Amino acid sequence: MSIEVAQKRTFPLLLLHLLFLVLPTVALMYVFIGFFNESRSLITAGSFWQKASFGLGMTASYILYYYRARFLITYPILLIVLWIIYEGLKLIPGEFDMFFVVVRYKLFAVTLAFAVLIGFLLARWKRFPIVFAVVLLAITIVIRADNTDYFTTVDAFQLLMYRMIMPVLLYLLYMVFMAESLRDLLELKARRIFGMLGRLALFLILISAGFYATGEYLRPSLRLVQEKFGGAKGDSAGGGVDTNGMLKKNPNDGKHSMRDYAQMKNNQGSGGKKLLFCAYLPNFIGPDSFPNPIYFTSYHLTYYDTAHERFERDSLVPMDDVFDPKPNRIPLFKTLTDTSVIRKGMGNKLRRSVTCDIYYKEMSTEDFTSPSTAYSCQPITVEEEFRKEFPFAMKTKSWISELNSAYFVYNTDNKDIRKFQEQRFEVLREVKNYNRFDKKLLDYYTTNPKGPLFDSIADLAKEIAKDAKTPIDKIIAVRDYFLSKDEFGEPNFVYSLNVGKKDDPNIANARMLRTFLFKEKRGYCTYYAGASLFMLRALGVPTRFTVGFLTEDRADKNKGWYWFYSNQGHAWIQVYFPEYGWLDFDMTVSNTDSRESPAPDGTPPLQPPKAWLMAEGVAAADADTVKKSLQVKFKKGIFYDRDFNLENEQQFEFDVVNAKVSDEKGPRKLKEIHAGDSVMIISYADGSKNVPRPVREMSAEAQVMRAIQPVIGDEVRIKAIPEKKKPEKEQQKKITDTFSWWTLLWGIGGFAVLLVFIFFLFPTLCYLWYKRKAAHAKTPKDRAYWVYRFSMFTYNQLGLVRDENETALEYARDKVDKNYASGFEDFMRIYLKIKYTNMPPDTQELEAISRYSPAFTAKAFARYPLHKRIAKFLNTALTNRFLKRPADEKKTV
Amino acid sequence: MINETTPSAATGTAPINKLALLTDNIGKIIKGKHLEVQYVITALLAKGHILLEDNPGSGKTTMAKALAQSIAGGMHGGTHINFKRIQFTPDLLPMDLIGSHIFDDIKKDFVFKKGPLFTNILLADEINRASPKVQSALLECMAENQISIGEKTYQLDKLFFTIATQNPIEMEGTYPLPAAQLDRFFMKITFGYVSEEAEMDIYTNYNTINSIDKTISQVLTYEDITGMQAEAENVFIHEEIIRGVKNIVWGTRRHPDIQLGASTRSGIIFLKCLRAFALVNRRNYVVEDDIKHLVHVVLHHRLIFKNKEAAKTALGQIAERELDRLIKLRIAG
Repeated sequence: MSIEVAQKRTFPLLLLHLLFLVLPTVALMYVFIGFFNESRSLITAGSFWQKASFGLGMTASYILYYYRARFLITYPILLIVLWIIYEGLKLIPGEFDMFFVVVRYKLFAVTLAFAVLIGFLLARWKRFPIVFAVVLLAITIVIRADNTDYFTTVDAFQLLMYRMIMPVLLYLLYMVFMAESLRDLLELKARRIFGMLGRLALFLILISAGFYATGEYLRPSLRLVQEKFGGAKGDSAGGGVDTNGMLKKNPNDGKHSMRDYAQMKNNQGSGGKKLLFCAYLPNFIGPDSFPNPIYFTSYHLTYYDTAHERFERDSLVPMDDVFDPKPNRIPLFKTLTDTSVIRKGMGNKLRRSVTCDIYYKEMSTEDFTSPSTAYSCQPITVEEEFRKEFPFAMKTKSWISELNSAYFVYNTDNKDIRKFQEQRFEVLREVKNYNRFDKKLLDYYTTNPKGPLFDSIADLAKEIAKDAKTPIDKIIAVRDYFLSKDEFGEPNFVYSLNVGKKDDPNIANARMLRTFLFKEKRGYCTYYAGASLFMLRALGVPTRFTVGFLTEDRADKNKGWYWFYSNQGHAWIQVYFPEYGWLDFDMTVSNTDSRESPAPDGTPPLQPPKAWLMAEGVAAADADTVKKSLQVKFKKGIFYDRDFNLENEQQFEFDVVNAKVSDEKGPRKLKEIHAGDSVMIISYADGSKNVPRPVREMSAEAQVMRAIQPVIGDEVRIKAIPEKKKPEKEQQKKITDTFSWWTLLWGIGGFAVLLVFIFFLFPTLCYLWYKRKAAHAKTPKDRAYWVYRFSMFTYNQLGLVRDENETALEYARDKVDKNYASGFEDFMRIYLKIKYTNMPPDTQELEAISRYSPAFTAKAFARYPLHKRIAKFLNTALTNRFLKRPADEKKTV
Repeated sequence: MINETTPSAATGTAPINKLALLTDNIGKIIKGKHLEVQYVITALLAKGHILLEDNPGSGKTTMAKALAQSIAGGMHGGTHINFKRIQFTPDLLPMDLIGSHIFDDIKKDFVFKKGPLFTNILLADEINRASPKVQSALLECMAENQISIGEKTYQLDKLFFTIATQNPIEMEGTYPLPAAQLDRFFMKITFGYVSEEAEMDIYTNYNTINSIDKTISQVLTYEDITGMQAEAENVFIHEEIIRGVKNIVWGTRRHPDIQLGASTRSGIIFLKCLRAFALVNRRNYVVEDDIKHLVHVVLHHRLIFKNKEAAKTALGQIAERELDRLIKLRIAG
């Protein structure tokens, strides 16, 4: 009877929609676009404009389609217009700039097209927000799976949870809760509006209660997570880094960390002789040249915070090329690479990629350090013998300038070194100025704080470097100033750890620098670095403060091997040279007392043997405990330093007589390896073994195939769960995170399945409920009612739907009894009599009622085969129709 | 419709059992209009009047005559029931209905000569063809059950039932009844065309139908009818049904497309009709189906709708909503 009524469209209603439907969606997309941009570094161009164009496009399209514009006409027109503009832009001459404009325009056009589409769907499709949220969740998870690098550098759990999943879930809940009632709001009646506001308030209360409850419930585990993930909290959002916090970072393995080794002030004390790590850095300049130890960089500080009086790295760092993974959280032999660091380093001239092996001893495995600009990190195994001393090792790759040798940066009078340095200064003299350098970057890296002290430093710098024209000359001028001698031939500046007050911070602040520069002229590395930073910046040379390790060449016995003791914690500056990138300069004067004193030390007798073969695969059979051999099927692995990926899975026999078997928890026995277990088998290139030598010209795959079986395996690592079929990427994901993504996925999936289940089970649940009610009713009137409802429900579910203008009695007579001849009409008469009179039913009627329910069920059901009956009982739409109330009186059109 | 009146039920002695005879009797003439026959009887038992509206030739007059014939004319003991028929024409005057004073030569005085209104069952044919003056004269009688002429007031019989027929108001030569007068009719029913089978039946048995006098005999007496009228007032009506009626009446006042909603009097009339209708269906209690069957015939002609579309749907929406409530309602006890 009722006529489907078109929705009324009024401006106040539109405003409500914009506020309660569009605004949340735009907000979600704001978050999502930010997230998407961060995880896809390719399209970082102007995320603000993306967000803005998306928001405006969506709002406009919502309004347009709210007023029933024809989508099939307007949308193609939009696409065509966008395409024409695009083609037009391509025609405009112009080289590089134009290319960028076109790329940006493309991005804008795609964003806009999407925004309009989403606006349309939001305006027209009632259930769209739900679908949308699910799609976003899926995209989030795909991005996450796709981009392990990104998510291991920053904290995965927090990032995904707080940045994407929580917002999307909130949005979903909000839409489910609000959208429907908003769309049903046809007229702006005060009652309805208050109802809606009440609903909103209820939603907020529920959500906050939910958060609170979850928080309370999860508090212990959250704390655990906090402890595990706490360190990365700062960088996860790319925000400001509290350097003090970083220095005090509490490693969870009880080893020395930045907190200890950055105590540059006391690094000559008794506690300063601990071996933190040693590194193998092959000479990359040339075999006959100087050995080239390079300073090991840990992090940079880029600006001076006058409020806290300390150096900081703030969130505004342009082209931040810091690569700061947590090595201990990367799975063994997995490589974490962030090549964007190379791009952000902005220097390719005379640069090359250099590999460096770092063996951790006392240093916390949470901390990463590497020469120059690192971009890759891969934990590697340490051969059994060495593991006692070096529990952890990693292979890093750095983008290193040939100009960046420690000898090049040593601030010393040594004539040989000075000569060596001069050659390189000549190269750098080609850089005359920073005119072609990005203005914003230059500003950032040459800005000093305001204040009399900084002015006086600037004045001093200008005085020192009044003759210097090129940046390198300015640097040399500053260096020479620190090396200058007074009329008695005594150096003006001396190295001293005994300066300042006891509670002065490690890294010199402005006050300490004033004392250093203008009064005492005594200090240690951070004094020199800090002072030269301000001086060079005053001279317009982009400079940053670098903290890391001084590399001392003691490599007489083992060429290329360097030892790092805790007293080698150091600070110096890096200066940017266009095309050459950031180069190290150490302004600290030689410590005349102790430069030579640290004796060459506990040099290991032999280099740790390196793994020549690492195969990752599945045990083909249980380990043969008699022959002590193990059959392993594998496809991927590492051959010397090269990854290989065989075309077909190979089965190798490994001799595991001396192999150490272990899993994540600890040592295991050989017999515990079973067929199907995922294993990683490692063989070290021990001199006593017959192992193939690496041949540079041949592919790693071919060389692996040449290996003679049985291969002697030195280590077998069993993976926790046999993961036969899971793709490699997923395995990686699993191991990467302490937080198991699979648990989350299973949880979400399980929940979804449960929802679907409930959805389809709903009719059956209703049926059982009515049945139970009918069986347990106490008074005859109740009993009659529930039998009546039960019967009505069942017939409805069997497909007999009562029309809106049909009474129950008519329904019984015209539909039920016509189809099933079950005598429902007679029952209905008795029921109606009981219902509308106060007379108690007589015994005959009572009997009829109690007889009715089972009898009719049997009759009605008997007509359908089981599968049809099941199908009918899965039809939730029918149940819905049965339970729904008639619509409000709608205004007829 | 609840079809409970089977011929076998007609053997009872109580007046209510004779209702079956009445419907059967009328059914011989009026084919395929079972529900409409019930409405007419309902109006009779509710002490109301009924207005039949339809195109000419749809059996309105036949219906009225058949009813009258069934309860009047014959002499089965008890009081005689009078039946009169007036054909309304534009030149009809009020005195043609109520009667006039005529000079009596013998008494040398004016004596009142009673008009056709002084009867038990009145068939007012084509009521909307008469002038408004005549219409109001008739309607006064219907409302007050009395006639005032000069200073004298003549009481009509307590069994006074009017069956008015009218042609659809759009037709030419009619004076539409104003809303206030329509309100006095308990029900307005429309006949509509009969089904094809019924039509065939009518043609086949035309001779029987045509000779109403022969076919129809008196089956009910005056006392039967007054007895049933008294019984109708005692039909039990549940509080929830009353609430349903109230909700519907209020619904018509709230509905955005209804200009003039139902009056309180119409609610009272509705309840009276519900009781009578229950009785007609041989029940002594009212059920939700009764509401469904009566809501349109009792209320529709009292409402003024804002547009034609609303006239078709608005009342149905209100009733559907209320019926849905009643159907799902659980009355505890």
